[in-house]
Amino acid sequence: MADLLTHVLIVYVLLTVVSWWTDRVDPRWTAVGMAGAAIPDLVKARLLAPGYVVERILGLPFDYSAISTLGGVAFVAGVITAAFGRRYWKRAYIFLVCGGFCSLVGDGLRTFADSHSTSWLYPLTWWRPPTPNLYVTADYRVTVLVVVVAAVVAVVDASVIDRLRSETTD
Amino acid sequence: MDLWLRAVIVLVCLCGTMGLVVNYDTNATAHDRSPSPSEVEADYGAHVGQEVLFWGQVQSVSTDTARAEIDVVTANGTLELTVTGFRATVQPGGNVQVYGTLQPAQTIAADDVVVVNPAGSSRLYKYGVSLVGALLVLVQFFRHWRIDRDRLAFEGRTDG
Repeated sequence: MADLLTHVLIVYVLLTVVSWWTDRVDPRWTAVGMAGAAIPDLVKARLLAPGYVVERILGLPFDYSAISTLGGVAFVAGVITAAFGRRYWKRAYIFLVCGGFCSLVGDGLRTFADSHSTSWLYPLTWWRPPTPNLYVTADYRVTVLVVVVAAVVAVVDASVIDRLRSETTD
Repeated sequence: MDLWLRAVIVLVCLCGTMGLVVNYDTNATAHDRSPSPSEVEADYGAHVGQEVLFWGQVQSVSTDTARAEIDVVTANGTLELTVTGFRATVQPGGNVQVYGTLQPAQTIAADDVVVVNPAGSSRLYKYGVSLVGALLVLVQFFRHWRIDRDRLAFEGRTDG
């Protein structure tokens, strides 16, 4: 799992850059996408209540890993979507799922000793897609790189793009 | 009416999530290409010669002999293993992935070792950075959204 900050900033960068070309994406929906990027990180709930503890309490098999998959993102995004006012449902769900998907793809590029990432396409398939072994989460250089890129995008967005927008509306 | 529909959606999605979490645990090991630590612990001899991919915490490393002792978490506790062909820079307390062949006498002959956390402190770094990420999401979200107390729903701070 790349750290949560990296996940969230990658989606911030992608959606902010997309917003330069289309009105369908604005800071408000970028924020929703960022929230979606955090969904796969809910597996970290295992730090508070480890899987085997939950298993004993519920009397059911239980593996948090399923949350960091396509299926997990689809259902958790549904829960969050229902918290929005009804007129936002469709867009909220799309942005949440897109954000979560980006995090899953990012995690799918991590290094695995057998060069196959997790079954993150579950429940569509149990297949573990091959990974290019780009990084491990503890590699702070990835975080630094993403923070720098996000900062540049934020500055460009606040200065250049805002000026262009006000010029076109004038 | 609206609140009922939302309650139903939340319930359905929570049940769906629960279903996945249970189903995943039930079936994941059957789809793994290599045996899980718990399976190996239950009957070590039956798995000798098989390829395994284990996550473990490093107890000690000897660079001279390219050996390391690691603890692998299982359903019942920990499995202590010796890794041979261990060529990686990591401190005791760090975490590694080991991909290799299971040998007799609680040993893995490693084909590849990936350092996940170079030291115990790397975990703290990850959790710290993730906490910053969580705060960033919350701040960014509530800059643009507010909770409508009458309808108990998120509403945009600006129209649209």
